[in-house]
Amino acid sequence: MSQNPYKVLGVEENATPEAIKKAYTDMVKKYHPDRYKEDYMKELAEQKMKEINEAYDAIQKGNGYSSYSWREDTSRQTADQSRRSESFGSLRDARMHINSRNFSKAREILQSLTQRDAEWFFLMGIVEVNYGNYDQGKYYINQAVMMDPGNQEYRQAYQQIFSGTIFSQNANPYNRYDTSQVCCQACAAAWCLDVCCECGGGDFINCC
Amino acid sequence: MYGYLRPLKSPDQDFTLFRAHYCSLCKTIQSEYGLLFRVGLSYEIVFFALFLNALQKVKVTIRRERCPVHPFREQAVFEGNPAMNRCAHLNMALIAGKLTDDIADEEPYRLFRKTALHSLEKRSGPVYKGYFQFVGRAYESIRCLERQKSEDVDALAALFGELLASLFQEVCRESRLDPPASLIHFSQLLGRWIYCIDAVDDLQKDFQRKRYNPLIYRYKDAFFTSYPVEEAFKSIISQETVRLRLLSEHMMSEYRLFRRQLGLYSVEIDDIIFHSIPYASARIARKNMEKEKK
Repeated sequence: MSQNPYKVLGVEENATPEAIKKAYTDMVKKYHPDRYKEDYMKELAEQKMKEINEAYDAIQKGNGYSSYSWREDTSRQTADQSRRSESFGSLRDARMHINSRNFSKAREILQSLTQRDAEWFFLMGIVEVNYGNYDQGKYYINQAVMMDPGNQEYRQAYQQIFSGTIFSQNANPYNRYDTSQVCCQACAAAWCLDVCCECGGGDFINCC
Repeated sequence: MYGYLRPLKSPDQDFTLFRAHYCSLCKTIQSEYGLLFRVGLSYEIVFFALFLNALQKVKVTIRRERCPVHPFREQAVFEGNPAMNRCAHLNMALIAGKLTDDIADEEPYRLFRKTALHSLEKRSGPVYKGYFQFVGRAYESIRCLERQKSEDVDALAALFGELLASLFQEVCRESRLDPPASLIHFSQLLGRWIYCIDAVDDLQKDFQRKRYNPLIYRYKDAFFTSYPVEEAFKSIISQETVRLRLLSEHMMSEYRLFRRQLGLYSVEIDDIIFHSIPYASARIARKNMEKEKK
């Protein structure tokens, strides 16, 4: 799974090489497999060490992480305005396909785009969530929120998709026809639909 | 398979149709594979059969019958049809896939499993051999990722979802049905949900038996940061509850898109989709949380 190497080491992206090295050595000490007696924990520690070493190597090489270029992503958000407007049409097309629930086409368009700004991450996140790839979707939408913290649509979508709980853990099976609950669920689902992809005929809730 | 897709036991609900599908499938399995394999019938395939009959708009005539499992109380059954026959073979193909998986994982009672697998393959006949081969290939690709100790829960769940969707597509094609795209997407999500809920359900057991479970690797950090280990389980389950909730919500919205085509049995299917699935997700999470408290 692609992860931000700075996040793996628990340091800021603008951290000094000394701070990165210190974080790395601290983590190596903490997760060294020899520290754990149980076989299972040893195995997990080995996996964690692999992750830490990969992250450290990626930062040292200065090209982000192997399967996905982190630096490339962050530098792309500062791309000049002309390139932004150039791909705007395509991002709009992708959004249109998402609205009409044609997720495969939307994914195809998004994958063909080289400019990856907040909108790109947001739309890609929505596509992944709709495919059922929630880890990847969460990563993309979170990325969009980080790139454009002022964007209410991204924030609301993130909160609605990944924080809300529609069914409670103590749901009573015999109160299944509780109308208030059904209404709540319907409203929440409609709002989620409206915020995420505006399916079902466009922006039917004007205020959000 | 796993037994998570069944109607909720509520006093105001009539389960006759679901029970009739269960008993009819059970009888079909007996006639095709023998008495012993009746125990292998899963609720998921019963749901599958109910779905298929609803899509084909088959009107069933229910009658009451006794059977060796229920010698005193008569059970609702109906005359089998080709769709039920296909579902029975499908069930056995999935059992065969599971048996192959268990043999590869060196689970106990290997000889018994091997004999059962051999017997199943012998009885499947040339017509349904394709199901067995297809399921075998799909389980192999899942096993391949599992051997690599993959932590990508979504990728593993997607493989199982793909398996279920392809099987459903195949059965629909054989029944001369043209399933809408939303139904295929629904079955993919259903497969994902079954894989994920099973992983949540088996989390603690797999950890204790040192068996592979994608959630252990996906949330390995939790085992280092939470103490005691029960706290790690709790944190994993609460995070996975979100995935299960999202999957069930997605299933519901996909289901709404083709619900009208079901006609006949939509009330029974509604009950499972809108109530049993969210409740099962919550029940499994709660059960595992309580298990940890003990």
